Amino acid sequence: MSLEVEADRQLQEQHSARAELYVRHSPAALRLAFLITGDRALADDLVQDAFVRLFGRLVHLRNPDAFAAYLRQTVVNLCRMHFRRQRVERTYLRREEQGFQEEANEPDLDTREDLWRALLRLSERQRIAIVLHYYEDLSEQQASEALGCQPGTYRSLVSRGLAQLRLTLQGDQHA
Amino acid sequence: MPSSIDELDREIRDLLHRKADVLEVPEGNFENTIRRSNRRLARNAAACLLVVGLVGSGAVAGVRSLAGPASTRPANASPTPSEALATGAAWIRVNGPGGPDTFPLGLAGADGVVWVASGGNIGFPPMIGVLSDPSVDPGVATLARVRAGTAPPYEVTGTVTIGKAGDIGVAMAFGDAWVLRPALDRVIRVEGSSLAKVASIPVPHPSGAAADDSSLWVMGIGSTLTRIDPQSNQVVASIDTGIPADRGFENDGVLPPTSPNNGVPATGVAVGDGAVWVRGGGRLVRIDPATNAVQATIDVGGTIEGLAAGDSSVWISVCTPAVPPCTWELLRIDATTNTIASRDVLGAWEDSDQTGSAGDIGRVGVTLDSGSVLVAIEATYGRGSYSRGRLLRIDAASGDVIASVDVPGSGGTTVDGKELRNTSDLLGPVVIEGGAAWVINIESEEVVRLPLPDS
Repeated sequence: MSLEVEADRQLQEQHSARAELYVRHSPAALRLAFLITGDRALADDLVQDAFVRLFGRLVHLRNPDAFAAYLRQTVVNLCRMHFRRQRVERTYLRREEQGFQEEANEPDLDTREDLWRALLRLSERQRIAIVLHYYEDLSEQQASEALGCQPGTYRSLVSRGLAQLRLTLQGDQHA
Repeated sequence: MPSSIDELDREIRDLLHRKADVLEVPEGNFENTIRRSNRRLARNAAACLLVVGLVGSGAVAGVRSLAGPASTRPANASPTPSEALATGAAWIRVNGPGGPDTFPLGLAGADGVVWVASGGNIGFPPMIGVLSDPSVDPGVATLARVRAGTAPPYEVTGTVTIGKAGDIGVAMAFGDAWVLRPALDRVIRVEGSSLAKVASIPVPHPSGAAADDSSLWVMGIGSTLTRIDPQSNQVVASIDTGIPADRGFENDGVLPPTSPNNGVPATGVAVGDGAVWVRGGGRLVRIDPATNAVQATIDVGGTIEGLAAGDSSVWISVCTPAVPPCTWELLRIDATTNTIASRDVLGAWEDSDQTGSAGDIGRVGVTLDSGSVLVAIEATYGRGSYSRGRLLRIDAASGDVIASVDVPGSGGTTVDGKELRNTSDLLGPVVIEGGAAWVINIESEEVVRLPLPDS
């Protein structure tokens, strides 16, 4: 087999492996990014970024089973970087004041939109902690690693996030 | 409102799943991702090791902080690309058709020769100390010897393979090339004329090396500085510098924090007169070669990238805070007092995304040349991955930029069709050899020889 043919074969295999990873893991990554950011388009971008980063590192994954964990960690990191860079939280507040136009475009029969808005009002770290706990169902150890903090800090973030949610919901109810 | 904690728990869980479960990945996203991934690989994979061994002196112990008497001077290095592309440049490819498919990551020069270590094709940033997946053949790493006289030809005069592709660096000392392979935990000595591998020395995750008259000093990723005797090729000392270990990319799902190193090794070393200086994170540490003891530790607060030691000064490039968005500064350390003597703002790194933001500076390398400081910056302009390398000559006394030149691309296009004529992506500082500057342009995967910027 010539070097050229062999190189082509390796490229094909590489492409197939990436496609398989993408198909298997991108839906979960998209959902996680959306729940953290509350923005569908942004979530698409961040997930694409996450795969771009990890595809460049594939040869280093000695344990392919760890890909999901790498991806989750990368999505969380990218979300946090995005918040830091763009001051997205302030944007959220502004958007909320404008009545969440994006959401208003989509009919929503659910009555829990007040809870969704309250979630999006949480601080970035509290929201990520809540999502990791209630959506990803991670252990304390896994979630604290994904957040880059101690388990105690993670517990505190979840606890304070819940307290803040209750406060916000009470306030909405009394408003 | 939910009336109990259990009810709130349930409602949050239900809400998150309801919100998430309706999402679908748009068609075409995978192909977009592959295109971006290829572009990223082409642009960024890298780590460059370069060492500057000059002269310095002084000895005071203690930990110092930014709160010292250092003066801060205004920005003087606009990252906006000029049209002043260097003329008289020469481009040297050490890979490509018929050769290895990896691209340059390390550069060193001496005695009319430039050594080019190539190993990149494995993504960005290189995962220092982590072995490649055995099921994937990444190709081979190579060391190439390039003739670096004052006139052409600047041709490759010899090549030797140095194991599988991956992170690699090279230093020149005692007439030979010393190749650093962090994934193999080895420093490999290659005889300068025959290219024979004459020694393979175990060193943990070597990332940078520099030599004084009697020893090769190798800094690893982590806190250990290793001293090698070139006569015996044996490790004669392992010194704990106190620099925190960089965990790299571990296989437990934990990524390292975003680093502003952008492909440059997280640690490095330079040798002065009577002092060995190592950097890691925001810390600069001075080692006394007479005793192998730490003499001083200077915490500068950000992340140090470039490091060069001179007669009585050490120069470092620092991005503060430690992760982007951060501001690049050139700091002069007074080697007689081990304090920060001056700070010059070079620019900012606002966006660590691969494409960067217009005006972002992604790397800053530092080299000394004839009493002035040569700074190599990689700046992004026009969001969308156009970058331009620039060399600045900075007056050591005033901090003023006294000359600059932009590094031209060689032409051709990238995998996604980008014109390379006006773009370049510098990695690491400058090697000065044969009266010219030598840099790695990782965008075109070439080594570029260009005239030194003069006032």
